[in-house]
Amino acid sequence: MADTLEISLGSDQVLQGLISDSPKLKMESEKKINLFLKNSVNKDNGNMPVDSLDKPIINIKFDEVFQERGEYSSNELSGIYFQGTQYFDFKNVYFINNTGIANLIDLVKSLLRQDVVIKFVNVSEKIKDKFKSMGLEFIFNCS
Amino acid sequence: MKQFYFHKFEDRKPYAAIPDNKYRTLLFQFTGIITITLGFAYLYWRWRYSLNPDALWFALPLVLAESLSFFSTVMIVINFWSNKDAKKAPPVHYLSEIEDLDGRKERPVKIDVFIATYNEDVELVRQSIQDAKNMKYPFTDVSIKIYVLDDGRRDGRDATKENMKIVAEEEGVEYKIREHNEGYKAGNLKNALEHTKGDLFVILDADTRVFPDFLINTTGYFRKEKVAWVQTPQWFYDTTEAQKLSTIINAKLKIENKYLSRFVNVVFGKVKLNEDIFGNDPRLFYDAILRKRNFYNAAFCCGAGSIHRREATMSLAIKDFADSLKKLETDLISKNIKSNEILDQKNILLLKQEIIPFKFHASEDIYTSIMLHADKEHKWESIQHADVECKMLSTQDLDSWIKQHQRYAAGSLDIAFKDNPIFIKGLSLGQKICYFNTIWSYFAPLWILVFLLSPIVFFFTLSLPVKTYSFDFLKYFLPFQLMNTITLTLGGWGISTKRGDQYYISSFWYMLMALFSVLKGKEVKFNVTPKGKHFAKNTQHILPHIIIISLTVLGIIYNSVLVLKGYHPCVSGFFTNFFWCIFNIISLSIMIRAAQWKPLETD
Repeated sequence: MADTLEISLGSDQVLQGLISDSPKLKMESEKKINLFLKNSVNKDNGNMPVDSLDKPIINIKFDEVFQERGEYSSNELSGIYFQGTQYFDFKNVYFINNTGIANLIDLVKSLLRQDVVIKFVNVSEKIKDKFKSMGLEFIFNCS
Repeated sequence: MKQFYFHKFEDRKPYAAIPDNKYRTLLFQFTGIITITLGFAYLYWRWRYSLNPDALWFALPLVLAESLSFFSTVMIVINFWSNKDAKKAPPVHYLSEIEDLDGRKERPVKIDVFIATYNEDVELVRQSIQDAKNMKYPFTDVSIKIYVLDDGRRDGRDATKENMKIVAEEEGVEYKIREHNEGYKAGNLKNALEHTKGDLFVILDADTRVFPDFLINTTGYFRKEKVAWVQTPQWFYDTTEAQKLSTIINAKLKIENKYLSRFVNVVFGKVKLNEDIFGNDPRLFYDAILRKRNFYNAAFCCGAGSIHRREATMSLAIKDFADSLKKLETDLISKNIKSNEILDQKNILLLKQEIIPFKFHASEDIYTSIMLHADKEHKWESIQHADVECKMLSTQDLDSWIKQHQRYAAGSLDIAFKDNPIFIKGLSLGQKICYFNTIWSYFAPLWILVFLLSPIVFFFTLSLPVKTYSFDFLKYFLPFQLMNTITLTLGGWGISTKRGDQYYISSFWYMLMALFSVLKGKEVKFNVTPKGKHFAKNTQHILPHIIIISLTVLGIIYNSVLVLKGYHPCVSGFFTNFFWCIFNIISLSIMIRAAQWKPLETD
């Protein structure tokens, strides 16, 4: 298992409307995740050295994790791996369709097989409602 | 090009859908109400006044069978009550025409065409591919991708098999396989959906050959965002041709004398036999039964020749996935299991559970349709398109026919026992009735068997199920039967039901076997219907028919002797049962003819 992971998701049907192509936006997402983690760590685990969160994010090709699925575009979902948890920033995700949700479920399963828990941060209320309406609120850990 | 038996039928044209006529519908509703009223009157009389108290062992099963049969009539009247063809619309171009973009970028729609195959002749599949490639679409920027989904894994790894992959490559279409056959066709489609991204997808079988306007005539329906799928009629273009009796006699007897041959032609030349000998023409089903279910939004998917909205299919898959996990959690909580154990178990199930777009079931089409219709949140709609947009091959021998129909029956009955639509929340009353009607029709052999055996029982016991075959009997029975016939004729207006009626009776044995098989809890297997002719000896299939016909004929002879000698205790009963028997024998004989049928050497 790599120290940090960044999972590329994408294709306009997987996470449609996902905007993270812009380096500026991407950096903001990363900052947001880091801020979230810092807050979490400060709250949950005061002994954790904050500096360790500022490691550079390593990109891992999509196929390495999701070999059973193909044809994904280069869009990326900003993420960070920390202490057995993979965080994804949904800040710029404003739409997700059912195929996208199916792919997220696969993502959750794939990482669960590697003992990695997923948390989605900055999820909009609209998407949370969608997850809830489909009975997925207990599969997707959102905040 | 490889020659197939069906090439000589290539010029056949499909039927035109029966035009909707509101006056005919009104007349049907009027006669339908009268039929039901007369039916109730008849059955009231039967139960209240007609039962023979000296032979209740005979009278009760018969009147019960009549009552159950009448219930079918009521269901048919409800099914045929009205027609509501969906409004046709021009083909779609952009995504925003079929779903809310919700802020996303506009783009042309993407359409996938799935050709599911398992063991069919690769050259037969090639024809389906070529026809799919010939589909027209007015917008060049709309992506239309064709995928051959080969569950036979004929990618060259097995030298004893034909190479499907090469055919797909030669035709320039995508080729997809998986390393197992889990879920049969539904699993094959699941695999395809995981690897594709069309907004709409078309399901075709290996032998389904679409017409060029298939997409033009069907995608427009998806402008209505609630439409989940559109089913087009399955038209079998290779049903057996009517043969002149004189031709059959000449061929069977191998008459070579031209004068004798001419004599046979003169005498029997106008008599024709064997048209659609296997009763394969499904027009009544598609053009009447399923089409009229549009009125209740209850037309179900039949697989090949349908086009689907991916979002609808996936929504069901995710809902099922979430429901199964939720159910597990509820079960565990009710058992007071510790929260960390619940989490562990949930994770185990999460890893095991798959997202299954089409139910893994022998009748995956109808099962998935029921569940989509029952989705209260989305309220998905289905459309039975009236016009034929593709052609297919029918079963060409009795053995294949029986296997195919037993699978339909067992699949539907399995749903009835495991997930009965009557009890599924979310379905409207009309939908529940329509789905129940489909399932109920597979119970028909129970009362058909009684109808077939009753005359035999009468002939050999001389017991009457009714007090007497008097004027009272005719007074109640004949008006009901007459109106029933008129109502059914109006319901299936313009469609020949002769062969269908015969098969409804004569398939009783196979349907009964399917029913018992499901009752015994046997797993319903997905048998791939063979595409071709397999003229095996079919005698074992028609043994029940031969026995019933033989007993009936023996009974007629025995009773005729009694009548002629003046010993028969109920002559009116003999004549009533005699005419009843003629109907039974004609119906049963079709199966015997089908079992014996082979193309003439002259063909």
